[in-house]
Amino acid sequence: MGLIKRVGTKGLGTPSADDSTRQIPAAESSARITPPTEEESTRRIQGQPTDEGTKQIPVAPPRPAPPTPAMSAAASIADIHILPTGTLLQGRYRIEEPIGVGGMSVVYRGRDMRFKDVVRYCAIKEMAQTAPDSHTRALNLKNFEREAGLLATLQHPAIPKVYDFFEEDHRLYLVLELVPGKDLEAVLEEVGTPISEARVVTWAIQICDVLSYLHKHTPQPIVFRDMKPSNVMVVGDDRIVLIDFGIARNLNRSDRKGTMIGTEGYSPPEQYRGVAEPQGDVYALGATLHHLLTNTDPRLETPFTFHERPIRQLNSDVSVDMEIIVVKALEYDMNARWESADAMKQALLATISGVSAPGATALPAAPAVAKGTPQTELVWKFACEDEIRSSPAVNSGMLFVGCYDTNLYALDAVRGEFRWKYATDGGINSSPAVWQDYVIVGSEDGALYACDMRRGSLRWTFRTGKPIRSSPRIEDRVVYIGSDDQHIYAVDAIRGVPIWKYRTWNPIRSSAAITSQVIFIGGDDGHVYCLDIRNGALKWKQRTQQPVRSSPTFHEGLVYVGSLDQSLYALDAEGGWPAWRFRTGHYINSSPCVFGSRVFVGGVDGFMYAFDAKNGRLAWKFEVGSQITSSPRVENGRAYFGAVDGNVYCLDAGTGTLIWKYLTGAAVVSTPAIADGIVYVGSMDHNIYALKG
Amino acid sequence: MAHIHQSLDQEADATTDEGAPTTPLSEAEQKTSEGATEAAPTTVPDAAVWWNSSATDDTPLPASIQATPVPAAEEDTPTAPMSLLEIEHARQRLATIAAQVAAAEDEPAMVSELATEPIDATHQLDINQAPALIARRSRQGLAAMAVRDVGRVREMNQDNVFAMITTLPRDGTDLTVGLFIVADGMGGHQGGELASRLAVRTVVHQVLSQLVLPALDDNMNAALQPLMISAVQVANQTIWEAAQSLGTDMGTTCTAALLVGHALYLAHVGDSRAYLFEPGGLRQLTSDHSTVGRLIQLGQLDPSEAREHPLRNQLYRTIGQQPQVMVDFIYQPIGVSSHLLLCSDGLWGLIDTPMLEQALKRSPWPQDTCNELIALANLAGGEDNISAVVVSLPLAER
Repeated sequence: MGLIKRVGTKGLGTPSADDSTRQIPAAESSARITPPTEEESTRRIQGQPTDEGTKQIPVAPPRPAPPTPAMSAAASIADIHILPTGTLLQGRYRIEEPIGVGGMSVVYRGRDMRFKDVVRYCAIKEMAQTAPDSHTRALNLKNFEREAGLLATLQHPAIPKVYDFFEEDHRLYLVLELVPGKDLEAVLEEVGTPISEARVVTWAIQICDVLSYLHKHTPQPIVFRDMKPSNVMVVGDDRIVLIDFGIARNLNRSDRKGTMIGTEGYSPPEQYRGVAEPQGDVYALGATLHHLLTNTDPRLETPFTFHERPIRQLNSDVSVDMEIIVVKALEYDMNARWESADAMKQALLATISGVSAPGATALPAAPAVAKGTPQTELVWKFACEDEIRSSPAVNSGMLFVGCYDTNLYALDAVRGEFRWKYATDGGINSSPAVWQDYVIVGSEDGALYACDMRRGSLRWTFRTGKPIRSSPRIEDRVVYIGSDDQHIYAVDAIRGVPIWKYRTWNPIRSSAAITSQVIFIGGDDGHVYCLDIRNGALKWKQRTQQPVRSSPTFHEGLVYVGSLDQSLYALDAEGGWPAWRFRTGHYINSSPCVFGSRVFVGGVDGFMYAFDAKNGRLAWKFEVGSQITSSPRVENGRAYFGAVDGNVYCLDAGTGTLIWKYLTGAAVVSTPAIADGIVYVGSMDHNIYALKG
Repeated sequence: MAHIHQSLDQEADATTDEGAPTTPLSEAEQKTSEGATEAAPTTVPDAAVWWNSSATDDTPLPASIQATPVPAAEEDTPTAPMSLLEIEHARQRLATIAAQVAAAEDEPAMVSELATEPIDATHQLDINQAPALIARRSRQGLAAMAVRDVGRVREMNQDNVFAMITTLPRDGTDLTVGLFIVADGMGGHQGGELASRLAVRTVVHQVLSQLVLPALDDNMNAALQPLMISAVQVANQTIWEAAQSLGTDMGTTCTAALLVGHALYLAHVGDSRAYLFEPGGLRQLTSDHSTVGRLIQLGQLDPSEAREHPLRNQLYRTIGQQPQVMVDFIYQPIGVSSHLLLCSDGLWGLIDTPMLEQALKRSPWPQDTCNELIALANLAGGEDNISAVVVSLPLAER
């Protein structure tokens, strides 16, 4: 099924004979009996999963069939030849009522009048030839005859018996055992939820059994080729009967190029290359079981995406063993599947007896989450005199950090030894930045300080009107800094003189992201600003609902920034409009970090988030349980950050699983700095830590 | 199905006047750009663009600081400390872009265009760049053309196309925005034609009302990704409802690309395609929602087998044929790519990638390119409606 859009393919679509005891569809579905319209415009999407009329035998025709006008539903009903009740065929079979209409056949409930004293019903399948061209008709006829001949040679409790085959009034008839029951699709529809594993297993074992019988057929194996719920009848006490052998065929191995027949959604990939091997039935059975166990219809999903819908994720009642069996049946590679229906049957039997069958033993390894502190080693720690609210910078073997005790500290990064400190006139909330041999940091006293990196001597100061809580960012000799005096400044890094300033209407506590042309920075007025790097001219400003204290980061045309309006934004760098946004449960103070194709950010709602950077799809989130205002740093596939619970966390950046955490004495709002495999971070317990994990 | 390859391509070549205008142009460029590089260092830096410090703050520099090695530091002047750096930046940036483009196009002549400056509406003119801008003669710039053709077999054109380029005001600058759509309809009784027209109409309406008009009112807060996705979903809803009331099964593909500055926001359903012509060649941005396309993705089918596959036209996702639809979204910065191409399978099903690339290279004008592509598809049989939207892209600045 599926949709077909053009003459060449659609025109010869020959829905195969359908089967036995299905009820005639109501009027609305009789439109499906319409032979595929052969107009130029016949691309169609499969509308309903119950559609039976679009099974294809698309053989590439020499020329497309001539266009015929599309038929109305009414006309198509008239086209279908339905025998009236009471019609007697061969002087023996009395038509009782139509019970099913397939694409090219009608199935009646009939009565065999030769048994005069008993009421013996049978299924009478009539070939309904509505195809307009002779080529298709011939093909249909051949199929019908093949089905009859094939069924006549088979003897299996799950295969309907053939009683008779004849032609009357230029029509072909096949008389079959009447199978009273419902097909699995109807069963599933009725239940409306995934079907219990126990029931599915008993069906599956029987299906494997009959498939195995067909596959072992001599002289040539028979490949059923159309295994799907609607082709499996459940009779009485969960007995299974396969119906619709319209397209099953003897496998002629010399005939490499088979035609593509089957049902979209259940057919194995190789069937689209014209390959029909017994393993194809194993795949289709796997697809059928997946559908039954999850109640997700594969015909409504992207083809071949079963592995994206793990069974146990959709139905946790299913056992691990069962999932493994189905997953193995659904391998793309034929050779990776169960080597035979028999092998699959043995595995299914084992799930009942509770013994794992060979081949089903590969239990998924329990996620090896190495938890706890054992691997985390404290390299050193250094005590300052007050809280460390800002983040360290590591450069040339030295670590610089501002402390609320007013000092800018310089330590030896390897040993944690004190080198120098410089006292400002206020606490330090700003994080230092290093440029050449300058260390630059802002202070609550309103000034920006530049010190000599080696000696700690003052090079220059630049005073703003209010405390500086933004952190300096330096690019090409220019320092960009925001101040509570509502300005964004560009300052000459060598001389400490301003180059330009830009006025906003609230304090600036965010720090700038810099590109070759512009800087991006957030403001407490809720705007994200994009300013010309040369003169501070406003390129754009984009409003969020609340102050922006998170610092933007720029990556491949997008600017990522958090806002106190609880959202993480990805703004178009040129337009400023959001490309996407993601709403979390609380403020975002943390500054996003881009690594690979992902963007990471912490939330005050207690989660560390990882998103696909381009479309904002959540890759994972990790619950810490306490506020995260620290910003993540990602290196070597690991994400490091601190949380208000006092821990420093290290997660696997790919999966969001915990690798280690390290407890400090108070909240960690500082953002880690990483150099040579060592993680440096400050804590509100006054200490700066160097950790190795 | 007949495939035209290089031989046919040469015939088409003879009918165009390729090559003639480019040679004198690049000579002229070379001359002017040489002038520009000479002129640049002597240009007086424009002090007015710098917000200068007050006199009290501007203390004389210690000698040690002045000696700090920064690029072009010895020529630094107190009035405009950045301008030489800026020129160097511009030069380096351009060199990078020009070199990438030149390497991609394998044309040594392009190297002489180092002094050309990519320009678009968002660019703020700087006097330092003026000589380079005057000298600039770009081989690409923003322009678009959308063409559809009924082909040689069908009697009805069920494809619809759309192209729009506009600028929108933003605080300190103007922003270039483009919207390009291809929709390939399906369903009898003119349903396909109606569906694809409805798709284009709905998506354009959505983008105008949710992006263009709010941007003009400086009130644009919608996010672009959900905007594009919902535009296509609204189209799905519209067509689905129309189909229900008309009792048809019409549907359409829809590939819609929004260009914002130098980034593309694409929403896509079906088997129409969007390609980006990168320096390395044409790259398909979208994936076909056909069973065959999916098999190729999985490596279960060879792309060469796909063109002839009897089920190549089976789509598993379309617009308008189910009450809900999942829309693919793709964000793609254009970088140094030269063209965006949107097309229906009436084009890509008949013309192979190297030929598409050649057609895109041949003329700087999207109109020429569109005409050539459609002519080629018709020469290859024109089995289906053919539509193409060709966008010549602005050079990236970042």
